[in-house]
Amino acid sequence: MIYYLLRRLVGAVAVLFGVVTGTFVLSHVVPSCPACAVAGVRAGPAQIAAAAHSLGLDRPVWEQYVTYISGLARGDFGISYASRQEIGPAILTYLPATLELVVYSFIVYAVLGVGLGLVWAWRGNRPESWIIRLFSMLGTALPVFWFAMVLQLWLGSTLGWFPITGRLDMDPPPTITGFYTIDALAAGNLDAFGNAVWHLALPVTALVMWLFAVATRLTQKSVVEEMQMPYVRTAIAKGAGTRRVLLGHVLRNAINPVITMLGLQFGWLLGGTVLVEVVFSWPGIGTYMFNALQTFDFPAIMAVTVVITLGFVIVNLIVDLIYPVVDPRIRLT
Amino acid sequence: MAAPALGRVEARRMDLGRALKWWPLLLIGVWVVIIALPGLIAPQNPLTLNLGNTLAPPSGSNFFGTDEAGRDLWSRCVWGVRYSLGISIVIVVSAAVIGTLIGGLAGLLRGPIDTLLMRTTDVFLAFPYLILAIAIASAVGPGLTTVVVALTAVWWPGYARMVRGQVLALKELAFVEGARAAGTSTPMILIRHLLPHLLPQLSARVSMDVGYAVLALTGLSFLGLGAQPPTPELGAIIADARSHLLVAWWYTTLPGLFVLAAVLSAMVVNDWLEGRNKGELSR
Repeated sequence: MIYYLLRRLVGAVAVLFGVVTGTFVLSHVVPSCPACAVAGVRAGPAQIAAAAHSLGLDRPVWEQYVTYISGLARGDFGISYASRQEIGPAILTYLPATLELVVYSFIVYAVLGVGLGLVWAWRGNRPESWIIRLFSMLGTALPVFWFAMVLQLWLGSTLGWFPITGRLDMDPPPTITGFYTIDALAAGNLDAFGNAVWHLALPVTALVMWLFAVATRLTQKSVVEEMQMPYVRTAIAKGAGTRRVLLGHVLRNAINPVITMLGLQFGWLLGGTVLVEVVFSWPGIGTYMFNALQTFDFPAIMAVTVVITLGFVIVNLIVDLIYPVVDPRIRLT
Repeated sequence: MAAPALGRVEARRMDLGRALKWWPLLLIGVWVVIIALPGLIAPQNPLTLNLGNTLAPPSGSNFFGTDEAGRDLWSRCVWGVRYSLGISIVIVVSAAVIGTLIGGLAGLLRGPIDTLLMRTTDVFLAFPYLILAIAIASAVGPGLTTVVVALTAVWWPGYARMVRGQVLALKELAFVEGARAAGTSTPMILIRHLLPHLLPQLSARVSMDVGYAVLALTGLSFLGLGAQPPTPELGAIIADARSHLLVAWWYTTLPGLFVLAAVLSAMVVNDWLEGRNKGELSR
């Protein structure tokens, strides 16, 4: 058990190290002249040299690398080329919006994906299965940014059912968690809560539709396989009802691959959220990254990359920790 | 008299059934024609400005309407397929070739090289490819070449992993041992003896990945990292449409249908190839 955990931990650290090194190379070595981006288009050689000096870009590469790594270890992401401000605090102000979007999308996605996968497996070839199949095919094939825009155009603008952009139409509730929904509830402000949920509806729909197919199909496959096991026949023969067989017996055994997949998908969500945030002007790190892209603000781009990867690695570690709890057989190996 | 005639009808029906099984090839053909000869179904120039006819809704002369510069959207979308789908094919095929070589050699050579290569793929596979591609593309500078580099860089590890697994299983078989005994070199074993066995699964995966690559490529272009204006690339067209979202529904809605159709086609072809692979196994 301890060996299992240690191995996962070492793997996670290796990935993080790889990403940090990769982002360093991408921001310091690959661009032909990072200082030009800082100094601006009209800067002369002297201004470029000054910019390079003030950011330490004129020092040897290995020295920059050490500074970069030791900075990251202290939570210091450096200074934005565009705003000349520290990136760490900026990301912290944008992060809660992204987390709120991603967490709600993930919950809706996991419940819907596993639930409908179960329905699909159980109902076999009936109409409801076909509808689920159709949706999962469409979800896989839709470009998420386009689907988000289509939702925005038709449901938001033409029909006027949902707000087109932003997180909230009123002053945000006092910050406790940074999640507007939770903060609004904590402040007892039901109007703000409803408004925040209303704003979440379209971006969450876009993200859920995008991933939908994966959990649904995997659950369906896993459940169908599991239902052919002798113990299922035994359970049915002993008179257990549908619900009991499916939820009590089959799902418990069929859920393992789904949980692993869900962990991976959380990372995809963090990636896909960039595209959806841009469409809905959602003030999260995706929008922050998009703005940084427009100005070639390498430190900011790389900082978001590191933060998203960190989130991804943490979620996968959590999944690895949950795994032996869900499936005790893991402990033996 | 009646019996043979009935037989012939049945035979013809069988032929038709067999021919229908090949319809995904027809689908591939259609896309190839669009990529090779876009002018055939979109006679208007996708770059010609017409400032007297901007943001016009769909009509007889402009099937998909026009954009903010009066360019014909149908033409831009059809030409966009050449960029979006054509380049995606290039990306996935390069990734498959690189991945096959690296994965194949890792599987055949084993030892420290194998460990090093597989740990590298672990790191690549361990985080969201879209974010990695964004980081790479932003550092290299926007453009179509950049996107090809960025997406190939994040795509090959999947192939390396898959091929290595298959090679590990295959290399224990007698024909590989025989080739080795006859003095065949390792790269030659990979190309001459193992590749034919890898191809069915590789092609199925490539077909699926072309669909995913179209989504990733248009996504990067949407963020402004891929095709630059005025190149008619589907993601870039949709990005341009953002500024006119509320006034031109066709501009937003219709180009996405091309992406959707391309990805759905990739899924159909993948389904077909996988079905064939399974059929071969059961025979």
